[in-house]
Amino acid sequence: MKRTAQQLLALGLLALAGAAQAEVTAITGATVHTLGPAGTLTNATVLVRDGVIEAVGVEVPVPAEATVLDANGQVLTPGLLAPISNIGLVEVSGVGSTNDQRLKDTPVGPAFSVRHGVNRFSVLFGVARTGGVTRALAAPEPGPDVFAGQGSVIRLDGAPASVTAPDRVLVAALGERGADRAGGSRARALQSLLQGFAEAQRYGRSNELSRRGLASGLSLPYYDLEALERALSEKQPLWVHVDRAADIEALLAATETLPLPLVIVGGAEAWRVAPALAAREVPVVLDPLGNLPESFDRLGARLDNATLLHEAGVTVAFTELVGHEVRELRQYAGNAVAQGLPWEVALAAITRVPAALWGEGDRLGQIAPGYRADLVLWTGDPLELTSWARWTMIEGQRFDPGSRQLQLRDRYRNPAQRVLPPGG
Amino acid sequence: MRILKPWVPLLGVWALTAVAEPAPAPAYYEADPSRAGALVRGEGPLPYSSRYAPEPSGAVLIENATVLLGDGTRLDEGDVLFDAGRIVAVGQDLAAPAEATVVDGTGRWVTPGIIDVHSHLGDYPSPGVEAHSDGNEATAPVTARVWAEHSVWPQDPQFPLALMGGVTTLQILPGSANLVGGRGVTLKNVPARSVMDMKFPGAPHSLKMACGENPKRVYGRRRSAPSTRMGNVAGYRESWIKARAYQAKLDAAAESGEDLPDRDLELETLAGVLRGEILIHNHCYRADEMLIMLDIAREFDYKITAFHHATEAYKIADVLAEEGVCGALWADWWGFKMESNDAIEENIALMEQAGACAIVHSDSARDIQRLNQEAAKALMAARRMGLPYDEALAMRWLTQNAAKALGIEDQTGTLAPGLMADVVLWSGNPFSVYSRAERVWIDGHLHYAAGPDGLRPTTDFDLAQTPAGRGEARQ
Repeated sequence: MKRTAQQLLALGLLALAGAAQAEVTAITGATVHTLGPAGTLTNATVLVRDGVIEAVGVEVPVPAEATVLDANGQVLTPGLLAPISNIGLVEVSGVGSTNDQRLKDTPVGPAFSVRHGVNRFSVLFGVARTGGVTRALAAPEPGPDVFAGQGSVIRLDGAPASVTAPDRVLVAALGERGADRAGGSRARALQSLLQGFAEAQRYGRSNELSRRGLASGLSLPYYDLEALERALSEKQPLWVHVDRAADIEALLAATETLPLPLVIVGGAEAWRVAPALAAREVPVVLDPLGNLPESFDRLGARLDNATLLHEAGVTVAFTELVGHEVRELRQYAGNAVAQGLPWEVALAAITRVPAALWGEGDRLGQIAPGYRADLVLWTGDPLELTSWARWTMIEGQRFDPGSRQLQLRDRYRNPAQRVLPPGG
Repeated sequence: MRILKPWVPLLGVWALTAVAEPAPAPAYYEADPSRAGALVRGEGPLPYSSRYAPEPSGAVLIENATVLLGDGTRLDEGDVLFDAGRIVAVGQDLAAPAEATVVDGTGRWVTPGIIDVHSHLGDYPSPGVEAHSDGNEATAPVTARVWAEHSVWPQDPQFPLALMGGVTTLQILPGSANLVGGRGVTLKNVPARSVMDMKFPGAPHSLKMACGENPKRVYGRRRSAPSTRMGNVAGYRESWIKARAYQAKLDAAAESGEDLPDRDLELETLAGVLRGEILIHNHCYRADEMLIMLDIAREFDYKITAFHHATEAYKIADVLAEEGVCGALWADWWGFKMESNDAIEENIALMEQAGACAIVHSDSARDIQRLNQEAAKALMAARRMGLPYDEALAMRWLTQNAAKALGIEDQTGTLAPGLMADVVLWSGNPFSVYSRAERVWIDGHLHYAAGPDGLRPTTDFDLAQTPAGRGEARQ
């Protein structure tokens, strides 16, 4: 396709306009929890240029063109990150037609990618932002296969390119959940997982010509084999839903030679095998409120799981949440602190650590030069439930509290009036 | 205006006891007016009645704490004295009786025991396996004949976890599969061999009703009624028509001395509602449906005590205030089905603003452990919109208002002198995420104390398979 001169000129002007209107914002007078080497700074300035953090410090000069946001001593943190969720994939949980997180009976396992189902116009995004959450891993829920599929990192600002890191992690389920998907035995679930990788390795070693013949003799279809092959060659993180300590041990033993980094999701009994997890450097995305022995996989569940793991040298992140509840991340972190986890470690578990587990640790989860300007200004301690987010910034764009919920609130501030005010 | 006929005790039964002379105790007596015509053999406690007996307790004086009395008031540097299971006084510089246990409350907060008006503990115990699924008699849309207490497994390991969250009283309700789900029961959160040993003495029974999606989904999928919201409403009305007829027969028999109608568990429960003895706790999300339920209550002349979940209560907060109907509400649950899609974080705040009775409830074995935190979220939402609410007021959502909805506000729910000494000592402000219940007294007896040398109930189920102190803070 040929571009006309006029079009080229227009493009050039747009580029110039972009350069001329560099968006510069300075947040001044903030107590900044950088989550990076700079630690916590008081009365600090964060300079944001074109959606990226340019400088952080107590003596950062504020350029004349900067829009200044005076924090008045309030607390600035990185945007909160939901390490694994279905936000963007589910609008109303009980309405099946709005749920694109899981397959019912279609035989697609590792190749199932949710990235094409993300709805950037979801009303859940505004609710999440109002709660200080800026990004999430939109992940598939285990369906008919032990492999749930591919999870993608998404941003919650509603911008067109909401999927920022497609197919970043491979999700699977073992234990009770896996057993349901593998003929009824958890032993077979782990076998299926290993078998998938073994077949993918054979498939990957074969040449194009022999692949067709080979594939017919393997248990997985070619698309799933290719997804697993890619996982192996790219060392894609393998996130495994598993709670029971014995199942975690079996997983660790069976995957010693598997070249993928493992992440445990759930891990209700992970504290029981903390040294083994520490030795293998396997992080755990856990639920610090999950102390109910609600299944036989979770009889050992306890509130101080995170503390015990941290003390053993295991990295922890919080937590798997449905999209509607991602704003509760800070409650999970706060409760972990009440159970003995250091405050900074708890805040990292909902910021820096999820970013690292997504392979985005060099651009998300910290307030440091070169990082995306995902920031939240809080009225107080962000882990206290009586605090709230004054505003949330995603890649430099500031969002005041705003959601369909807040519009409903404002409409019914005076419910007795006969004619309801219009929405915003 | 509601007119309730006082229900006359059954003359026939009295006659029988008279014949049984000279037995030292009545050989036959009527167990419970709501079970019309019941003839019960032998001595001992009435069948299914509370056999809760408070553990022995002495005097306890908590000194120099921040006290939230549960009635909306607060006392700084306050003392709380209780003795023989009852609150004696809240004040400053109270004198300790000679043999009182003195507890240093410096830096700590004291509140009444938390009351959860919506729980399924014991009916849906952990582990949540099918063999334990005892909360919904989803075999017919109207099952007023079932009683939630008859499903309660006292060894549910969730009970002690709720205790560690400061919950001293809880109402166990049937689930919401049915239009009329059955009777609920109010329990003291104490270790017991039987549900009767937990039953809150003198607490009225409740009746669980459910609006909306759940009943119509459960039965509609079976191609039986109800399958629509209009089907739901027809179902309620048909039940009340039968109940009215049954009550008329009871009244006529009482008047004339003639034979009572045959016993009918279903109608005994419904008639108990019409007589005002059984309180309606109505699962209902949408504002428009709640307004229809209020019309049904007018048609059949009964009272709805509380709407539960009521995620749209804020849309009709003025009406609920006017009608005196409580809202038992979540702080922030939303979006899990269509009828919860308009839930907002300010639901409780807007109910309070309208002068309605707002209650924070759990309906969850998880959240019952942290109802104080749910109230903190509601307080945040209130303050974010500029309402000047404080901790003292918010504590009412967890205690006094809840007690009112259970019909036990003259026994617990505040720290007023003479009430049950159901008391929680918190490590700090209970609206802080970092605070934990350190000690919990029920009727003046210490049932939970945090710490390595602490005291925590352990259920049979917990033995040898769950970690001790799974719910405990490490402070």
